[in-house]
Amino acid sequence: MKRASTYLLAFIAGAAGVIVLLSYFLDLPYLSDISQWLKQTAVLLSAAALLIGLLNLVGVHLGKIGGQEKGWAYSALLVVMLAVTFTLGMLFGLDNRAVVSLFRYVQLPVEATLIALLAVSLTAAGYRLIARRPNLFNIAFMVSAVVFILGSAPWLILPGLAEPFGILRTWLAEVWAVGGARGLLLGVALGSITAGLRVLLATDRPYGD
Amino acid sequence: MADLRCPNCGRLNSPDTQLCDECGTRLMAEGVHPGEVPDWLAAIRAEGEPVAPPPPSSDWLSQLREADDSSQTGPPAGEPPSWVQGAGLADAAGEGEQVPDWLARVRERQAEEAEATGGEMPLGVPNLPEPAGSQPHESDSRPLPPLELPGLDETDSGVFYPPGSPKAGHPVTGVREPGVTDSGAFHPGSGVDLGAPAAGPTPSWLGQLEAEGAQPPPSLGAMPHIPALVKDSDLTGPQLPGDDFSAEALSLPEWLGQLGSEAATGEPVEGRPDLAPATLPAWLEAMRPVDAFRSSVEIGPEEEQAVEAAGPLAGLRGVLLAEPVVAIPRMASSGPAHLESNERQYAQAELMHRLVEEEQREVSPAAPRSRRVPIVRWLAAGILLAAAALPTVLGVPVFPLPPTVPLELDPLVNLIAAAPANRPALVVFDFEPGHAGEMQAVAEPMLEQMMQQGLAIAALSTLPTGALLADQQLTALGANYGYSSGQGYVNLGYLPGGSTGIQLWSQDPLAVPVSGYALPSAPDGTPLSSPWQVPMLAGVDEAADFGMVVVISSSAETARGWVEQTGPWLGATPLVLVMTTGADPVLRPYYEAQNPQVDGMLSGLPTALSYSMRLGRPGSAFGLWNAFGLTAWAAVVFMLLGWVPAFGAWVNQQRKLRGSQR
Amino acid sequence: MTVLGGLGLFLVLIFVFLMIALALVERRWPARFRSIPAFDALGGATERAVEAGERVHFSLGTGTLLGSETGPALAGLSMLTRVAEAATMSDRPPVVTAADGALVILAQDTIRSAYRRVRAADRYHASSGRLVGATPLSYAAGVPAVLNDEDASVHLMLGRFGVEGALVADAGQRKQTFTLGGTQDIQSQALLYATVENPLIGEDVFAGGAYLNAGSMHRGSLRTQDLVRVLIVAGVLIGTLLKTFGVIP
Repeated sequence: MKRASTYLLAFIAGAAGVIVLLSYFLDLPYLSDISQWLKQTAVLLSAAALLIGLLNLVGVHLGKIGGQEKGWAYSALLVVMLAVTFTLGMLFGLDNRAVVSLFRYVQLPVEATLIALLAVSLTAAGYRLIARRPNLFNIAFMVSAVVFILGSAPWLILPGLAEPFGILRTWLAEVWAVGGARGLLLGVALGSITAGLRVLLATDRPYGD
Repeated sequence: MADLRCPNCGRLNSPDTQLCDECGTRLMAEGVHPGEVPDWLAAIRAEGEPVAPPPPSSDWLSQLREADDSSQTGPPAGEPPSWVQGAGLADAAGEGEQVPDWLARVRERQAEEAEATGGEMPLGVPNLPEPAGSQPHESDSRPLPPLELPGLDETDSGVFYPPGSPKAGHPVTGVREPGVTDSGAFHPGSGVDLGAPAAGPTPSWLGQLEAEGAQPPPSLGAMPHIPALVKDSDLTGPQLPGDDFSAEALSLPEWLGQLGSEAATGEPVEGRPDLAPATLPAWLEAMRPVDAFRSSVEIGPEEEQAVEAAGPLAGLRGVLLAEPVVAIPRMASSGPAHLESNERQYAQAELMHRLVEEEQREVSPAAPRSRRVPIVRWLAAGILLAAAALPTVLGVPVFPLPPTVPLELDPLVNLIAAAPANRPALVVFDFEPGHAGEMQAVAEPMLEQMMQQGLAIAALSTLPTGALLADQQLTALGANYGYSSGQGYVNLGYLPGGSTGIQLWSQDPLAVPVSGYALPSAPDGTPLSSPWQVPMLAGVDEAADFGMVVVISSSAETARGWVEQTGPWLGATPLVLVMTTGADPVLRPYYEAQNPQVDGMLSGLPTALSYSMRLGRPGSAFGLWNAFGLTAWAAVVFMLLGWVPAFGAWVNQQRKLRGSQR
Repeated sequence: MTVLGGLGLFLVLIFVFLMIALALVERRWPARFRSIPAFDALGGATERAVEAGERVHFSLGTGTLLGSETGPALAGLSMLTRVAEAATMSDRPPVVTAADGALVILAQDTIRSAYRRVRAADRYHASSGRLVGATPLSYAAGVPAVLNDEDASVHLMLGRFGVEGALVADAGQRKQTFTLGGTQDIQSQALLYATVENPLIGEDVFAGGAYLNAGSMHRGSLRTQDLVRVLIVAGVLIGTLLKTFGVIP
């Protein structure tokens, strides 16, 4: 027998979703007000959930430190840096010079490096793709990628080829890619609708049984 | 009492029902009624503790039950037996010293029967001499999880019987463990005695068993049904009739599940007028008990038997081996004379047979993972790094500037030029710090044009780090045009909530709390508490009051969020997207539509370079152009090199194919 | 109610009706879906991981539960339900990571429910759901550590991913795990196609529930999507023809 809390949670989730959904279609003042309130509450709850997530993060790493697990020193560094940044931000605000320096000289270069690593990973993946999965789709994928890059990049030798490649790139991007993207967007939208409706109908209960 | 889950359709039924409300499958063995559950078992269930249920009747056990009550009374009514209470206590060995009286009597009875049957014990009770000093170790043995098969009748004890033999057929169990009888239920002391734990370190697996034994085993009858993760039949063929159709299995709400069951069955299931004559599949026919119990261990003359070489029985001849007796499956001493099954049960039995066969097929172990040196990755990193650094350090090579100007550039320049000077432009900095190198370079010429025209700028971001990035760029660029916070631009700060936040903002910007970032001070020197107190935003009450909305985003999804959520509230205010080349195909439909939702586009470094050339100001894009060009070529050449081994492998494959054809 | 609002509401009701109806007729006329290699391979990979005592890592991506990112997040949670159920027999429960606090909470609830359903609630641990990083790239930086520390051999990525998804996938490839990835972001799909061993294309990410045997409602949903898609394609084609031949202005 299902617990009463399951039904209650399902009812709350379904009702909130239906109200927000209906407010898009029906121009009723009370409905709109409730919908606005629900959305604002959702935004606030998401911020609160971020804090809970951070506590979860700290808890996991404190556990690793306590158990002296592999890489516990990195966990300790993470916890210390989180505490320092959090304290500085709370005490002095985000526009404080120390916080800005942490952002500018730690976070910014690290994230830029990760994006640079992304270029390396994608190049290595392009190197291996056809050898790993030799089929027509992958060959077409890689040929398109090469044409795109060459159509965007400048040409040092044979500069006369830059323009035809540019035209080919534009044709691929604005006809084939845009057409495909529209189709995929349509499919994604349909999938999102059904995923949301399943939650409203309480057949999917991500909040637990 | 817990609900009973139907083994056939998975529906939960109230505990006092015998037939499933959904499909009519019998939920409890015939002759077993809810009210007839032994007191001690009822007491255990009442406590909510899952315990091993009593075994279904089999021949030897029937005889035991028919024995004199005075010699076999069982545990006191309403009180769980001590082995249940003590199951899993930390010190199993210590507990094993105390065998309950009723259990001792059962053992005596078994021993007598063993003698009477020539040393053979009933099915499931291995015929092993009990070593002196051995004790039962309840906590060392645990029942296997039940093998739950669709379509098999499940009794209250959680034991599955083949269709049509709900009472005394062969129960289907998993690999037999000590303590697990044929009934699939756990019986202390009935299995192979493992002996008292020897002194010394306990193996980890045994320790785990002991630890798990601290909790009573789950009730087999209450074990849930977990369908296969990827069920082939679901994807490639029709399901068996009646398979997996209930509110639970469908994951439908209960009201919907009831609706579905009514629609699906169309008639009450109790009547079952369509019962087909019994048909027995061949494999089940072969399993059917045909004669009395026959020992599977042939005992030869004593002189032909091997002499025991080791252990306490060393030197003795004719010692019975444990393994054959335990391992060799045998037929039951008696069984149902008639097996009643209908077509549906027959089909389900076939399905079970297939499932069992598939279970026997071992999953091939994954290939051992070897540590490989990522040479390709290192090579790619080295080549790309060199390509990016060479033009910056040495200044060579120098690539020609883009020969063509994108079609969307001129309309954008004109749009910015036509922006009203008395209304601030909202510029959204929605990119991660990692994308700052590209996005700031792409957006720079447009921001410069806006500053050249003296447009007031209000910065906003839906990312926590966006406010810092906005401040960084506006401060750097604004220095050339006399812009500072409060003078030419104001940073509204972070807008939380993603797409929902964007929608709320678009409907009523003033109602959404934004704290601002690096706000200027009031003329009297007091710090401002809200960005809306900055004089340049005085005329803004709604989103349409901005002269223009520019979204600088590295993510197509984020940009889409702005287009779709803000569009209805902007009125005649133009919307401009600044993005990476990769996001272009996704967002272009909004720009090239018959009724465009986007009024201007700026994507990628080449377009930004053309923009800078148009303004006549060398921006960041110029500095990146040569590095961009050489890195792009390096990446292309490296990827093309990867095609060579792939082509070589293909040629080899073709050659082998041709050779085999010859 | 405006005409557009009425039309929207009508379409939503049609969706609901089709989903329920197609779920109900699933028994008599079961759907036959095309084979998706990634889902076909997932069962065996999970089975191996369970038997080998290795962990399944489930990445719910860097999205949130607000806005357009909700769809893939919910689809990911649906699949997580099934994967968690399948992995409950393992000594080591699956570990789920996300970059959003709310998603982490839902992931924990999902795993807890899965364990409760198999009567093994005591084996659930809150650290099964983790926030690895609060921003997309910090999340991508944290995932390799989780894969290594937890000795994961199955690496599933289902949710919203930006370009950082390629880094997350690459971490799995480097560890030679079974890697399956899908997202709704078209830009990121191209990156995942190149970096993931078993990529999901287009809206395949929303088909996970139907392919992983999560119930007839999921199968009904997928059939509804297909049906509506066919109707839209037919409408587009007819509209194009009418416009081309000047029947409509």
